[in-house]
Amino acid sequence: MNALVTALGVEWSKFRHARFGQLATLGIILVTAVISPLMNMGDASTLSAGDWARYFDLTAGTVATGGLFGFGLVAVWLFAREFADGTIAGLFGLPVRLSTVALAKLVMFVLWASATTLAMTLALVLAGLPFGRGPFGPEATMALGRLVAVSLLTAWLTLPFALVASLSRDYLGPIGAILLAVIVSSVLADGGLGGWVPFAAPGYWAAAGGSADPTATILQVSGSLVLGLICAALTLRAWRRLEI
Amino acid sequence: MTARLELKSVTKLFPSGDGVSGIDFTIRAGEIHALVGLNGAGKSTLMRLMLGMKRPDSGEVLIEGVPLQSLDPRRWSRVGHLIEYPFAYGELSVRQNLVLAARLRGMETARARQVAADIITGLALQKFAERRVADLSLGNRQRVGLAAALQHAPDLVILDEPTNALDPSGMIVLRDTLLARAAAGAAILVSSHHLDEIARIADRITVINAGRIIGSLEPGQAEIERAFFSLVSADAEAA
Repeated sequence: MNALVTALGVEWSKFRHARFGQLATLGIILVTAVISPLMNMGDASTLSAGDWARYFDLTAGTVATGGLFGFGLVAVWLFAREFADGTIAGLFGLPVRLSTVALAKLVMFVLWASATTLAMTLALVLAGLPFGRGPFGPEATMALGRLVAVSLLTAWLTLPFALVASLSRDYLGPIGAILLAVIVSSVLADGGLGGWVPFAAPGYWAAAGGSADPTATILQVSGSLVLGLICAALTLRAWRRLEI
Repeated sequence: MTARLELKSVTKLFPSGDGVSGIDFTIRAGEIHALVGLNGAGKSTLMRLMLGMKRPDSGEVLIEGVPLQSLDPRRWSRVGHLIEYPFAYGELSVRQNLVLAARLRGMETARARQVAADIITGLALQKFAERRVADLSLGNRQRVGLAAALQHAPDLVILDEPTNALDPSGMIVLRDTLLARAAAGAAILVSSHHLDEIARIADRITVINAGRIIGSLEPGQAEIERAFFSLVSADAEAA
């Protein structure tokens, strides 16, 4: 436990001083909040949202796709940088095991994604306030919860890219994997599989809004959660068995 | 002298056929052991095997008689190493990097700050202490890597080409530091192409060629480079 706390502290220190981490955090929060004015353009925009619930669901749809890049690039950076920067050799021969370092990276990623999601949600509400979307009723609260869940699920779905980064030991492989996942998932989902494609599940959940079939949604979301969990476990295994 | 690290009949071969085979090797407490060889001779592979970065196909790597796979993780807190790249993150300052490296060796934050401050003085890094590593020259980054490897007073030190990119003053500081650490009882292994530099500080010099230990050189002997090439040439002809 002490080793994990130490490794977490080290990962946080690296992350908070890195420009990439700062830019990614700001990007995810601000880009999403900037969408808000677009949703007030009436018929001029396909993103027009007249009430809070529609506003949050439309944003959730954007996060489901854009988040694969935003969260995904951070997941890739956390793991691939040790190989690209040559610091991986320094992580051997320590009282803190390599698998503990990898676990700390995963934990830090999840904590960061959660904090970023909360900050993004707050920014979104603040950006939406001046535009008079009517009362903030139970439907809006549900949609807000759905947005937070979709964002977290999207972040969780980027764990396979951490695995690819650990196996390929560079940036290009996992970035290619993100593109491949987005393109192939879109084709398969549009081809009829819909939300049953794990990478497309958050987007379909967002698009359906409050009218989604609860059973299908639970099964689809579970599939995405299992995929992320398996990839997290495989990432730990890859680091435990790592040779350089 | 006690063997702090020992390799027993260690073999590690890659699909290309390169690697090391049948290596018996010791690093003893209180001595500086130099490993010399041409590029691709197997020096780095051997050092990586010692640090668990590679696992042997056969044979054993032992630290104080304990195989690496059975070693208590806490034992690694008394090992320092620098293999290929300095362990330093570009976005962090020199001081932050050293505190981070000390924390990873199991030190509490206050103690980590203290040892970082001490090594910054010891390796003459004061001028750069608050600068980001990304803004440093290659030579100064190497100094940071050496500082990270040495700051926690390890009793087993493994350095691959430690003089890489160092200027003459850096080489003198490193030489004095290693001699002092060995005198205090540390077991030190260094690899280098600088045979003259090695000859000045090493107690033993082992020559590796084509993945095998082929002999040794006397640190004080005259014409050490000629002796090295004679050994290597004789081995190549015999192969």
